Amino acid sequence: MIKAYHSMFAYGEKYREPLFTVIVLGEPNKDTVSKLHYILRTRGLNGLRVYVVKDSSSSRFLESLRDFIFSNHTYTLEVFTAEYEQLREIYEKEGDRIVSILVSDSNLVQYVPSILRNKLEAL
Amino acid sequence: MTYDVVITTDRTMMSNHHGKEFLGFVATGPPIGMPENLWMMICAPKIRVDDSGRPVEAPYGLRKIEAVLRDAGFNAAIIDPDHLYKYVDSMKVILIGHHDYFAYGPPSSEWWSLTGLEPVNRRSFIRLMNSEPMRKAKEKGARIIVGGPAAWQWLYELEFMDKWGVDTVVDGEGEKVTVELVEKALRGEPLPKYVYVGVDNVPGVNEIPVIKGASVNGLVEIMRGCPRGCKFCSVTLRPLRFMPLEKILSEVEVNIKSGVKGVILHSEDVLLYQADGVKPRPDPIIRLHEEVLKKIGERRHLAWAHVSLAALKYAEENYKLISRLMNEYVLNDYRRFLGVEVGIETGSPSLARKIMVGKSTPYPVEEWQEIVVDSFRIMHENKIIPAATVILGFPEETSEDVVKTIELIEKLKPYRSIIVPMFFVPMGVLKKNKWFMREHLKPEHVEALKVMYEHSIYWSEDIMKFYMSSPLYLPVKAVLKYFIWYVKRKVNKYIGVLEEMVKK
Repeated sequence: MIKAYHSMFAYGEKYREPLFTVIVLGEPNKDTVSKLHYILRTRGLNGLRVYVVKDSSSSRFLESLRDFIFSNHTYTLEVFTAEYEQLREIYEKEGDRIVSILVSDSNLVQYVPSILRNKLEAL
Repeated sequence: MTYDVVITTDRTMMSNHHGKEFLGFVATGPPIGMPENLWMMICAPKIRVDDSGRPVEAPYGLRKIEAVLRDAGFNAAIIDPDHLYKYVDSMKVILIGHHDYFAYGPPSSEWWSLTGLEPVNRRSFIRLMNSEPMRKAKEKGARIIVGGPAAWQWLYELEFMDKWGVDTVVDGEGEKVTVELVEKALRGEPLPKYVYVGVDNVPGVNEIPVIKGASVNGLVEIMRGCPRGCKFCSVTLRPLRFMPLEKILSEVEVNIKSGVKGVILHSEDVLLYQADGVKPRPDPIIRLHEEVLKKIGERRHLAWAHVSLAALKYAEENYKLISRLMNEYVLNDYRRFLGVEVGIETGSPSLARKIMVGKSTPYPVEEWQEIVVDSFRIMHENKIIPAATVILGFPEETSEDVVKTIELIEKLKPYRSIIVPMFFVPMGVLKKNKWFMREHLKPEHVEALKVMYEHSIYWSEDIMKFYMSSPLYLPVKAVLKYFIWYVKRKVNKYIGVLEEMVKK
């Protein structure tokens, strides 16, 4: 069904996925958002993917990201939400793209594997 | 026939508004003085569909998404909202586009704020999302992706997002990202809750497909983006691209073959097609009109979506381009006028300097009032009828700025036009500012509203003679006449209420 997908872009390029990923553990707070602003400004040129990992699947978290989202007029930005049990999968999928893990609550540090501790920013 | 991917929207968008684009704006207001059904009959009558429920005309943005998905090999189609029930069991992805999902855009938010009543476009969209086919499709696992120019509004309606199970909000040009998202959705992969399409993912001219079915009232995009940089506008954030003439003509042909009765050349500034910066060039504009008019023949109508007043003045004063275009190409026994939307936004040069310094170029912003008056005169003389917007409540606006606006509107009295006041809505680079609401009104604002209302009422019957000359429009014309009569009766009373309110 989607066989023509690649031929379509023979005259152009397909969608460029963001090259960098940030993982936010817990509900985003003021400090997280301020850090996201900084990362977007410094790394956004090649797009930024943000995972917000939290207990519920509610979209309510987007409210705290609204000003951050609205301040961007230039870069490709993807915002995903996930639950804690999906973290391993996310770490595996994103791999080297992960540039930062933002943790608003020190109890959540346990969810960061040792190999990624150097990316950890406790806020 | 079944479709994996169904593209749709609510009735206020999926309508050709009786072939009169301007009537579509009636859906931005709440139903006043008549039942909602009658209001919908005026602004959003049902559209003709085929046996599968595919509309003969559909919003242009949806047509682009349909084309890009079909070119990519997806089994996708635009389906009229009344026919979604046919695809409840088969549709796996539902794509929805809208200009103003929740009536937060201009002018809906203004009518809402002034009257305290929910506008019809919002009511209609909520009805669609609560409808049985949408609910059942979601229960069966369909994934919902929403986008279009009003995508940002979802970030203020997160409860609805959860209630209806909206998976992704796409903000920005959708040609590339939609293909990616639909592929992921069909594979059952996680979807982002929100995507902003950055400049690296904006499609080039060659990546923007030709529509495969007719667009509402024959709208055809001739360029995308705008070089003027007005701070309140989101279009200006997009890169500027001109569509090749061949592509424009192909889309005109698609529309004609489907029986559409005219063409709307769509751009934020039609006269800047293939321009030299902000200076119109006569050759590409004449060629564009010559070729398009050759295609549509002498009986079909022609309109421009938007034009800037500075470009219009420059084109006429330097090349007599407007009078040439209108007299030598556009006007005839069947095309007696040309309609267009224009932006005045303010009468104050000092406010203009702060928020739209590029709008007056190539003229200095200090001459903004003269630019507006001269261009209105040129349009009046050449039977171009503008629907102009004025924005009240800009973040840095002062009372003196509003007084300047009132003075300007008064100077426009001799020129046939509709002037629509709008309350400031945070968009473009001003997106983080606050909405302007009824409680922010000052006495000068009420006076400005009154002056604009009087101007538009003064010209409305004259314009209707041009706009609805065919006897086919008699029923709609009768309802509109009743509406104008009703508004005339009510508005003075209402202005009095506002005047009392601002005194307190």
